[in-house]
Amino acid sequence: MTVVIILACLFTLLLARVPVAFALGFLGLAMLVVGGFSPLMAPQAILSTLDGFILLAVPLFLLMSNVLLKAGVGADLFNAVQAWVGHWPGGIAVATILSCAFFAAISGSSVATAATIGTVAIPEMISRGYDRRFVYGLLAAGGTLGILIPPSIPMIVYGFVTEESVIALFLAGIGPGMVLVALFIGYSMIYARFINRNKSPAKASGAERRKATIRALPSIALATLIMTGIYSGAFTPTEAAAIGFSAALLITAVFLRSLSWAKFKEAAHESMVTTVAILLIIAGAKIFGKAIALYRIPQDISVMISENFGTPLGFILVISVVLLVMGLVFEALSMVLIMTPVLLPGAIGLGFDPIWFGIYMVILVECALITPPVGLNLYVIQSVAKSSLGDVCRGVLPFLVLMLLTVVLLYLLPDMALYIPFKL
Amino acid sequence: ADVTLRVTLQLPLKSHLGQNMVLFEKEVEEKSGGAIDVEIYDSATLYKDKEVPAAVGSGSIEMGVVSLTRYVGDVPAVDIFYQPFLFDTEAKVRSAVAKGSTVRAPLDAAIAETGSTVLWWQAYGGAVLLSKEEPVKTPADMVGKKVRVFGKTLGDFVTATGGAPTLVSGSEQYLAYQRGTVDLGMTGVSGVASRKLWEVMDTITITNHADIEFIVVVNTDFWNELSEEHKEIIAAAGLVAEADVRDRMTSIEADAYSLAEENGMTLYTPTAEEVSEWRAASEPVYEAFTEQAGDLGATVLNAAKAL
Amino acid sequence: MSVTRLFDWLNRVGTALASCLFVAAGAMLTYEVIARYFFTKPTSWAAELSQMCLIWGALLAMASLLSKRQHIQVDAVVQLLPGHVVRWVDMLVLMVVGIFSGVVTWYGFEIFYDSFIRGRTTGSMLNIPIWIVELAVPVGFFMLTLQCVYEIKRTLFRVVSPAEGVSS
Ligand code: NA
Ligand code: NA
Repeated sequence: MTVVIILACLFTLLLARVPVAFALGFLGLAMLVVGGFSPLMAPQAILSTLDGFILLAVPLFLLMSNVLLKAGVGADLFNAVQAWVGHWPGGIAVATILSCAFFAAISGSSVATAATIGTVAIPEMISRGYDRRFVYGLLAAGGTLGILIPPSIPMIVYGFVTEESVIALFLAGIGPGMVLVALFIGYSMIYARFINRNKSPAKASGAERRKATIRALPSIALATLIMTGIYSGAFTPTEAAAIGFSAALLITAVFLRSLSWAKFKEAAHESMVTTVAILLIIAGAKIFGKAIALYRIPQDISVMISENFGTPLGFILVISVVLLVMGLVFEALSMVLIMTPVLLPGAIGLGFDPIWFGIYMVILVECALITPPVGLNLYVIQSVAKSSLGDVCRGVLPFLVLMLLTVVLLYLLPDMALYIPFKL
Repeated sequence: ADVTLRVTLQLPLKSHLGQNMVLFEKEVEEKSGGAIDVEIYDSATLYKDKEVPAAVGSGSIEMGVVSLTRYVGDVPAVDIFYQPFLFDTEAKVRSAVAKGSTVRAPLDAAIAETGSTVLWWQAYGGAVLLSKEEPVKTPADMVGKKVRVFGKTLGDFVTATGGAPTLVSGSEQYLAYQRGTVDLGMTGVSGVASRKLWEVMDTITITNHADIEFIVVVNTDFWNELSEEHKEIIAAAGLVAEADVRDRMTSIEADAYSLAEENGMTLYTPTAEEVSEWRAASEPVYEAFTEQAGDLGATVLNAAKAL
Repeated sequence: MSVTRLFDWLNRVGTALASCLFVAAGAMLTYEVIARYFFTKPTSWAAELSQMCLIWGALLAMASLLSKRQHIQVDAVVQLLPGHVVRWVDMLVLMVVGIFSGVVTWYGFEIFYDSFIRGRTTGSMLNIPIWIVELAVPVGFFMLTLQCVYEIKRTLFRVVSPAEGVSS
């Protein structure tokens, strides 16, 4: 009963447009006061959240990708990839996905990935005769690679909440990320070959390829630096983010000379705004999390899970449905923050690896990003393409199916995620 | 129940400190006939270790389990237990941590001034060094190496011996060793088993260069408002728990070492000459401690040396 | 008018400081990696000072994010309501945020003050007074509380509707 009342209050606050951070914080504080617990917990929770070293990676990864974004790296990447694969059947679509994957390796956010690549790829694909809905769906879904391929802000947040290794999460995201890229590419080629025949551009000449590649090389080198730095153990995630930011500045301001002072200030300002919004949600969720812990709600749910879903398969099926439904209306990060403390104890009890479970959560969060009515990537594509939300939503459907297929594969083959961090 | 005691605990319930709290819970609830209810919030669901002193001191929660050295911001002298090789035998540790001892009593009194009353101490074991292939026999083996540390004094110790201290959290430890982010590891020996560190490190040097202690604290205002009868029950249960965990620690450590060996790790115990080399190299750490920890620091240091 | 200017100025200072602090954190940590990786001389200050940058930055910019409606929120339902209802819903929203931030300011000050008079330090590698960090909570949330009061007044007298507030 308490659970129902709490959920009703939470939904009312959220739907009334109380900022998520304050809805969670206010409700948590109210629960503390009602339960006779000290309100001191609220400022203590805020301080302890902001005192998390790993969360420093959030502004720094955002700074890195925003600096690259303002310097026009998206177009460079897309042109380079297109020069290599553009002439394949469905070549522009393939180039779009690969560009999303490359950009994902330097950006921790899905929205940034969708916006960056969408701005250049959507006009190009539509001018080549691709169906609008397919294009929108491809970009909205391709953008979600941003949080599956490391770095990834939701993974940082998951690692922070569960005290699991963020590096392990990053490494575990690579395998499923590759699988998803392969599925998207396969689908695009089949689509272009059999459903929506369209003309691919002529094969680029060697000189064109060379020129485009050189232009994109710095950002690819940067992605490689970050990945090898993390993989080899040279950097902690936070340090990797700092190095990435400094290297991005060096590349764009000194080598490419494509970053002006004004653009740098914009990048700094926008990263700051996103960071503050994200950190406050985490802090609000922490207050809420303490309050529900004091009411013993996660424990009760964990017991309920172990009593009702004896098998791992049943558990995963049920929580997948719950997360998909929640994902319709919930903002992605709040979903991770609210559900992880509730579900993880039960999942570990059933023998799931916490790192595996983090990757599973991230893929379901990706689904939430592209399911209406509330899906940030849908909004981004809608505004970039100046189209109707309905078109974007319909276009996204086949890609949603592919993402759910990835979840099934991940369940059947846990090593898809766990091989790289633990067995390689 | 008339009284509810909520306890925040950083470690999981199945850890030996968690089991110790369960023992306390049973004692208290039995002896009070259910008038006192103990609720344990384990695995840091409410507070991380570093937040516990403020949480209990301010009355946000009634009780907490926290590592002793977390109080270093309030009572710099608690770092006496991290002074390298000061408590290098079990006998010394036992006399230092006994209730009312010349080392412990002044610390308990100083902690009381932060608004928390110390109920009992929980043994966690000694700190050891981890390495690959070669043991860390002397300070010479530390020179130029990146060493994982947790806390300032241990960092000073690494600096004094010529290494580069690097803060790595417990959760990143495994990968930091696996990937070589640091060259040498440092942990309490129970951490080796719980994090399966034998998969990434193969040698333990049993330096016992620091003694890791946890304390169970209760908010003083809350404590003073309890009836005498309840105070007695709780204090008595605390004593039972304290004796139990101290006695079990010896076998827990022995088990941890044999488990590490079964999993392919080599154990190395430094010789007496090597230990005196370590002590000599640690001289700057003792000096820094004397400087920072004031009169109280000098008092407990002298008491410790006299053991 | 001058009150509006004062708030605008405060928010500009807050966001500018926050941006600078985050960039500074990036610079310090870069230095740390270079010092550790190339010279095996990790610093004792980079990790902690950059953490302080994060804490102060996030809390100083909070009020500005509220005034520009940049906090993450769920807009889908409110947009379906008629205008005059939206105005009252917005009032309630601001009161929720205001009450929360008022309470946090109060108790946050208590935490700061306690550490201040006790002379508590961080006890970490750097060992600085801990109130330097804790002061950020009452300061940031006090700014946010004031901003809420101001926004409530604006909504009440309908100087600008909150939706327009973004562009104005
Ligand atoms: Na990414
Ligand atoms: Na959605």
